[in-house]
Amino acid sequence: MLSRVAEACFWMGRYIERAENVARILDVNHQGVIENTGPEAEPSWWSVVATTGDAAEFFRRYPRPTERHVTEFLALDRENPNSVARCVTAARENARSIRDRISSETWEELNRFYHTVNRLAIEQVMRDGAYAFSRAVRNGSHLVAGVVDNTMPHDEGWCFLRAGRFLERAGMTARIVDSQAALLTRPAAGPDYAATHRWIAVLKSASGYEAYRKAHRGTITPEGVVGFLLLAEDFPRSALACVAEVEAALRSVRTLVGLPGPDRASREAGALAARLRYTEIGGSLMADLHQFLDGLETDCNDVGDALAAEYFWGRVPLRRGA
Amino acid sequence: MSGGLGVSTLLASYRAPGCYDELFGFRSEPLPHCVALCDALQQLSGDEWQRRAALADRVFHDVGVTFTLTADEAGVERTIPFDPVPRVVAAAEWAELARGLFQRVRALNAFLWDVYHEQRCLRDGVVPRWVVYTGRQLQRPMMGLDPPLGVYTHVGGIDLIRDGEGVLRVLEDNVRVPSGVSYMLQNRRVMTRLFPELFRSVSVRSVDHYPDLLLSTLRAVAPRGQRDPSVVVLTPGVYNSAYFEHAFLAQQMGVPLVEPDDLLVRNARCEMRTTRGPEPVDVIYRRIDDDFLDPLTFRSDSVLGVPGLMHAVRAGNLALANPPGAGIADDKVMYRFVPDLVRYYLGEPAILPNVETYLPALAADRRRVLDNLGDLVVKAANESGGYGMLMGPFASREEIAAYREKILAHPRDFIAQPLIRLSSCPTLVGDRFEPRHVDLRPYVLMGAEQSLVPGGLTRVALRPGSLVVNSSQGGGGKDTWVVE
Repeated sequence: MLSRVAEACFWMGRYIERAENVARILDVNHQGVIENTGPEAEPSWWSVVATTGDAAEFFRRYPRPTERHVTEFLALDRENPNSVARCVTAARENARSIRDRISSETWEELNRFYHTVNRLAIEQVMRDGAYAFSRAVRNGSHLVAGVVDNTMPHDEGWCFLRAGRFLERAGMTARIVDSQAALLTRPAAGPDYAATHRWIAVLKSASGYEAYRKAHRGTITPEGVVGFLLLAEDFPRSALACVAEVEAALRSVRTLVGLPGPDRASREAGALAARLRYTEIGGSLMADLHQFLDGLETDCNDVGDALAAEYFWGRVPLRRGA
Repeated sequence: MSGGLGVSTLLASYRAPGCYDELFGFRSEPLPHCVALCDALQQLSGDEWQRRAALADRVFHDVGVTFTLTADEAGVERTIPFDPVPRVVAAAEWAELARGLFQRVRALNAFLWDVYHEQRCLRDGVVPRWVVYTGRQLQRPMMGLDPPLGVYTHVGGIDLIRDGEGVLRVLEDNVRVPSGVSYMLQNRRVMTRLFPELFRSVSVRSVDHYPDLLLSTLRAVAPRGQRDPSVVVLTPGVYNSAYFEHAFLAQQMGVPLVEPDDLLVRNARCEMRTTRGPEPVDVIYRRIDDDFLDPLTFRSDSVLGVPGLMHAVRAGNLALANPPGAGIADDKVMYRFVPDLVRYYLGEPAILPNVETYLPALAADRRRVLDNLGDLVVKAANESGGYGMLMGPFASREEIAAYREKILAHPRDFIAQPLIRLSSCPTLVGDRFEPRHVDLRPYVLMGAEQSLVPGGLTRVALRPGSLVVNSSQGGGGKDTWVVE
């Protein structure tokens, strides 16, 4: 497969997933501050902007992290390269560059997704609520993912697309946890209902509330939620499950490409999965949660870099054969 | 008639505007081969036509059948307006037309071989030397090169119009990288999806095998007669106005769509960068202009292109369809000499007539052109898409004066033709049919043999009375039916 096509598949998968997760981050904070929309909520919105890593960009154009400004910035802002609208546009641009290689159903669904998101105005998003927006984006993303999985041959391109999807999701799940962690890991004297409410919002925004309840017999604890979202082997949005998917996708790529032995990218993904499997959720990890999540994201990026070096050529001159 | 009151009158008030009509000829009754279609057209009410036309637009939008305007802001995609009333060609007329098209392209191909080898036609005075030597599309690096099977015109798009007498004439030859064939295929798909009943009463010849014919053509010209060559489609990228078509054709043929950066040349062989490492490329259906193919041979300031590509061609390891320099045959000044080329190379008269053409560069024609600018259509010799055109009868004094200056400054860059009243075809306007002018572009292939599908792209000028059908000038598209 052409390296450019493989790369476009990878980024198409990543951008669709990123759009979905940015919408989820928005949603979790809306749920968290639902009874509190005044200036007191601003630290919370600020934390959301900080998590996405685009704070400087935000303050260049918005005076304060109000609900409306942050929502506009993350949902629709064309100047923000990580807004939902820009991510969906980027996914579509990648798809457009390989539309001869993806099924026409995939293209049509993604094209519809693009037009749906790009028709929205901020007034409408604010009126209908972040939940409606987030749900629409999630549905769009799921439809595309479903059509991808059910109409495209499970060949190299599909594997790269999945690698992109799950690598992005692993990193973004870490960010969703991180977006609330600073507000929630402060030790509380007694039962902190507001914190519990927030952790429930975190779970819900990752579609993990019901699964968590089943796995943990009901108690919501910070350790429980963090452990679940990072390390649950069987929950498809946990960081560990995502990294395991990346590893599997990269192994399949290796087989399909027909090159011998595991490459650096799949070795790194495998090592990261193993590290996560043997991670213990305890007081010290919770105390340094932000740092742990940061490290996790760095590790994910390393997998992406190894992948690009191995298969995408980039601007690197001829590396192989002669 | 089953559609209810008023339905049968859909075509009753239809009148062609004093020109030949593709469904009615010069009469008020449908032409014999159009009777069945005209009946079927009136089975649906005007409202229903409108509803389905809106659905058709929706399909084009969802599928993303788009083009980008070059003069527009970058990346704005539009769909070409689609008109659901088909344009019909009788099978007998098509057979004659096909003969004429094959003949014309054979002559153009012979001319190209001659220009890049012996130049007999110049020695014998069939074409004036200055026409070829001042042609911007003449590519000197092609001199003496032998493309596989001697083919230069793998894909030709020949624009035809029907004049005021109902005679089909060639208006333009396109043998560089003619586009629009994906619209021919999509228009048919949309028609069969949305208007299945029209196909029940009329037997329409299929055009769907075009990608197969194209692939056979490309495989046939593989270097050294290789049996299983690696074929690719080369596109400038997603921002090219015809990107949809490039991707569509690659997909339909099942071959990779590559961008210049995907290719490299080593040891005089072309390869593509894949996840497995470099893989060979034997035939390139290139949808990128000559200038941007290879910065080492053509424009050295081009950031596009594959350095060394022409080296692989010269070494006989790579075939390009169409090869660089084919454009000298579709220079609008050259056009005037094509009927002479047919007689010269093939020893027979041209089956398809030209439109009368004057060349300001010829002293004998110049006065005539300058004195009659108000009656003539002046075209820039090296533009396409309806850009750089003066429609004398509709132009202001100032426009005409400006053109006179341009022509005097650069007579080689212009041609002039009488205004042709193009034929019309019923076209859906609101909930009724109105006449709009149309042209026709069939696509002629040449590999080991010549082939074409029975149909083409019918372009329609959607503005009432307009004679310019280019999509960049507000034109739309129609399905083209060759019927028994």
